[in-house]
Amino acid sequence: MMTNWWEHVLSGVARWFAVVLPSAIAVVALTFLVGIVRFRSPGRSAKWTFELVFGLFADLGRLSFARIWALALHTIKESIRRRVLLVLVVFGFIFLFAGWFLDTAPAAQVKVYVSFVYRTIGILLFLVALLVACTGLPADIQRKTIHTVVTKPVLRLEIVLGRFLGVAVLCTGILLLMGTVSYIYLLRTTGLLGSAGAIDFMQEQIRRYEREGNTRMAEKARADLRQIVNSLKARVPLYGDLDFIDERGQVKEKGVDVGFEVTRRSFIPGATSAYARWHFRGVPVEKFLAENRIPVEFTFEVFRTTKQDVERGVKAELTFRNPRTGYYVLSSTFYVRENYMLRKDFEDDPATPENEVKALLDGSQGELVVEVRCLSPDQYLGMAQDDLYILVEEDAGFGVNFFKGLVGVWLQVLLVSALAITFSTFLSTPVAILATLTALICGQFMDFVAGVALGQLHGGGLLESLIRIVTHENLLRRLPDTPWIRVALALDHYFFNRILQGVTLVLPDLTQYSVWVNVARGFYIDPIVILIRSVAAVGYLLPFVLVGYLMLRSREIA
Amino acid sequence: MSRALQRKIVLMLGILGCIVATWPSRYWLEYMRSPEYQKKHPNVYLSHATLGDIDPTSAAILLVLGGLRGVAANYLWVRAEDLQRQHRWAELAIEVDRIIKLQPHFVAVWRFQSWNLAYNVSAEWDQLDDKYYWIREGIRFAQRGTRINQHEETLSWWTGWCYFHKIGKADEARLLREMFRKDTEPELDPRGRQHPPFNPKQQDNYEAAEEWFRRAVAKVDELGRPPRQMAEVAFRSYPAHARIQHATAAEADGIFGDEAARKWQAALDAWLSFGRREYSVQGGRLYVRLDYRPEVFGAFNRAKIGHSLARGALLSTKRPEAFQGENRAKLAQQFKDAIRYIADAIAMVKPAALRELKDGAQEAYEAVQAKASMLTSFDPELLATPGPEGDSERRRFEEFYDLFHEYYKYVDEELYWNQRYGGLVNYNYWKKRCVIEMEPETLKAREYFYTAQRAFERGDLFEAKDAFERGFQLWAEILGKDIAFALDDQTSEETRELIVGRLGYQRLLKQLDEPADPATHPILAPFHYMIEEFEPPPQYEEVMRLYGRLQQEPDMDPQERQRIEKRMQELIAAGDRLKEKRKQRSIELLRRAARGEKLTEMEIPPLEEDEPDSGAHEARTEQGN
Repeated sequence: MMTNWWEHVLSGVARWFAVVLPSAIAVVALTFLVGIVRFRSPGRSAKWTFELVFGLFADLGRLSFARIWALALHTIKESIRRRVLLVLVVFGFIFLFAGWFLDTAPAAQVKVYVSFVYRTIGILLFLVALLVACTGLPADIQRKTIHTVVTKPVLRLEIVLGRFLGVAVLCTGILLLMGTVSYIYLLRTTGLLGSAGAIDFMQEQIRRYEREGNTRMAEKARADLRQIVNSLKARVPLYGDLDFIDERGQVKEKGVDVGFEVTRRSFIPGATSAYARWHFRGVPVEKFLAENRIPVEFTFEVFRTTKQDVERGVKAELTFRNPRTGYYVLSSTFYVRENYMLRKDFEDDPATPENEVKALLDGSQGELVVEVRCLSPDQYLGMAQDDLYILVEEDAGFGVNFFKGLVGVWLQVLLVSALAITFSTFLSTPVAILATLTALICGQFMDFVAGVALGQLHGGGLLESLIRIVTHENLLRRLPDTPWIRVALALDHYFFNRILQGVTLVLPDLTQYSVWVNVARGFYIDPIVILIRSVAAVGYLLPFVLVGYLMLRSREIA
Repeated sequence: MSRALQRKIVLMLGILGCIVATWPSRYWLEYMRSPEYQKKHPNVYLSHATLGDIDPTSAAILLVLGGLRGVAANYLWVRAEDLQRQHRWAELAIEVDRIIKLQPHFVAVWRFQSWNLAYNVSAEWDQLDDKYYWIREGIRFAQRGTRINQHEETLSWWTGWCYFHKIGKADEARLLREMFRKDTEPELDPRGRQHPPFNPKQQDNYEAAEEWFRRAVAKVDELGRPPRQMAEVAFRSYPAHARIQHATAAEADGIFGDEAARKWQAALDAWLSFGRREYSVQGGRLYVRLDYRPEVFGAFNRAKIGHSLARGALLSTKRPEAFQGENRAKLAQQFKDAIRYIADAIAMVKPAALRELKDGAQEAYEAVQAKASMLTSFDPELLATPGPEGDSERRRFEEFYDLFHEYYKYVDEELYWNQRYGGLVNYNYWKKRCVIEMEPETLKAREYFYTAQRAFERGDLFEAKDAFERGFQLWAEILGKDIAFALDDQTSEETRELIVGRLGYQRLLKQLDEPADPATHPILAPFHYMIEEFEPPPQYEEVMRLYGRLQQEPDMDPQERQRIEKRMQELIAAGDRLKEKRKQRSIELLRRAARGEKLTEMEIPPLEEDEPDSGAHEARTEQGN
């Protein structure tokens, strides 16, 4: 569970105001300036601006859902007439031939399929949203059919909202249809529904290996099957804080760096007193006491400095500790199967009469420490914060989780449609499509855009990277210190990067909504996360719609 | 019927007609892929279908992407590398698959990614079965590549190499080979498709390697061009190499006696048939073999010896001192030998031998053969006589020599390339190796070594020691019979492993707390020169110390620097002399073993140290001055 989720929401709302209020003032100021240019008189411009802004508030009071709904229905009908639903045929085709493209290692099979399903739905819906949202208004304006609408007692805001609602309803319908089909597809390929699927086949494979006496491959197939089954669950993990204790007993944030390029995981040396320590808070003590066991799952990486025992691998050990009472228990040692999700249940030892789970959890107040040691000398064991967690619930239901993942996709599509409609209020169809696409791509790579905007990436900003490309210069070397280059760098720093920073504030980071990543990995999606994302989405939608309204209003349509 | 419907029906029929019309093109494509067509038009590989099997997915994607293929492929490459950095292997494999769908005939990609999977990705997994899984994926990937790219051999060769090297030569080779041998059942994937077994013929990995190497060789034969990426001689040696390794590995698995002998026989057969093939030199100007039939080789070899003796003798007659005293007798003998060898060389030449040589050799040979009767008329004593009498005889001989030289030029060129190509694959060593390994003594020695190492592993140290000693006794006898074989690097390396390796004899002695100094130990002394990397002459240490001093004191007095440099040279020379002495002593001991002496009963001649301290003493006195 995410703790203090309301703090997230509050800080988000505060940030929202910090961006939206200045932007709103800027928009009003800009409108005023445009007015001056248009009417060549500050007075008339002020009046015009006032009418626009005041009109907005007046419109807000007079909104009629019936009218909006009528416009939305019109949008839907129009889209269906434009054969937008052909997208369902495309969808069907993709699923028919998906198998061709998705050969993969057995362990990752379900993960890959789930990701594939979400990606396909996402891309197809983006396409629908783009086409429907970007063509509607500009076509109306071009064919002057908009006059027949605006001459009716319809508010400009209602036009924008109606369009948006129409696209939203259409996309929601398609999403639900595709989602349901995908869900059935997934269940069938894995063998949870009807015909034999991945799980059955893997079991058969295991049986076959066992018949042949090929224990090694049988063991691997069993590990693969566990990964498949795990991916079809919604496990509820409890994450802890990770720190490292080195050989001298000093607490550190990071362990040993073994020199991998990506340093997500850091390592502990084997057969030394160094260890990694997870500190968990909010452990459901009652539940574990009732079940009499504490399940823990983990994935570790191995870094060997010598070959040593190639047949069995590197040994590790878990220690459970109650930080309040100091009571601790060593769990059994085990060989690490690298890159696989491993599981250890802390249970009572049947050989001893003591109830160890109770002894461990007594007086813990929901706190628990898990320590990991590597036992093989000269070998290193690597881990990151989310590599080990306590399993609060085995399976909260894959189905519900799957549709929660779809909510994330739905929010993404809503954001894209709102953007597209906003653009289409003042741009022609092709330009609006291009603009929305750009926003979409930026949204998918927001980390990168933010990195460039803040000057954190190698290779620099717009002009600097252009210079590097043209002069075949690599990313790291300093550019020569000539006046022109200094000018270019200054422009990057004070102008282009600022614009990009603005973009990162205004455009939504779409990757944030890809909560389905957790579905693919078999983890439960916390409803709070969905809630926070929804609040954020509304935060984006509101200004988009308002800007759309202003733009439509400022055009001399009728 | 309405007009619209009519039109639709006509259109449908038209489409159908077009589809039917494409049917004959299949046969045309089949024909274009056939060897006959490709022989006629060696460079026409215009369509995918002529290059190999078509992957329908790949074809569909390429069609859809149109001109964007390059962009898409680039993007996928970037992603693949990123995934590799992040150790996301399963996704990497999918990405690689997509790349290959975009670039199905870019052989370097197939090879690169196959290597990546089999070598790099497998190395990142800790558990052996995971490693094996990825090696298998890599090999399967390359095999798929061979089906799609049927016009080239590198992928077949590479597949063989993975079996040969990645499975056979890994640190985990014993287990990997075992897993491969067991991998004979069809496999189900998570989608329920049954994949053919990875090892349907229950082969050993080296057998599989041989099969794929042979396929590559056959492909080159079919295409009628030299192999890409590798010298032809080396390329064609691989099937035989696989056989040799197969026999070696069988012994490592504990198979000896007749079965091992049979495997070595098979290896020898393969090696000989590789050696007896003709190789073109410099674009077909000349053809050479690595291995001639004995009589052919005898004729060539005698020609070579006779030619060099005659040439030497004739040259030395230009110097007056050659006729003085003992030299004269030597010169006469040299002429006599030269005449005998040349006569033999000419007599032994059969049409088979001449066919080995370049065009023109026939005429040259006939010219010299016509004058061969002259040879009996030469008087070696007269040839070695100074003055005009001898001169006229020598002129006559020189005339004959010139004729012979015309013929010999052909032999010389042939032998030059024979040795050059033979050296490339160490032909003679491996041939001799197969022969020696087949001997009952060698098989017995190998068995002793195997027993010794297994016993050492179990901890039966005395049993191990006993077996080692029996093994080394036999091994010394074998090496003593063939010193050239004993001195070969490959032999030294393998023997070294038996002595200083993880389960080596020297280690065993150390565990038993027994003396293990190769300078004095009776079992180690005959092999002393083979382990000198581990027992460098003591002088070298001093050299390193002095070198360190030179590096650390850059502003040393130039005279002092010179003195140290001189001292270093002396020490190196002394060390080299010691090494040579060790080698000579080892050879002597091996020879004695071959004559039937027991190593343990032999007296080990001490190594006279080259007064290693004398130089140091000098340096000290100089410093004192």
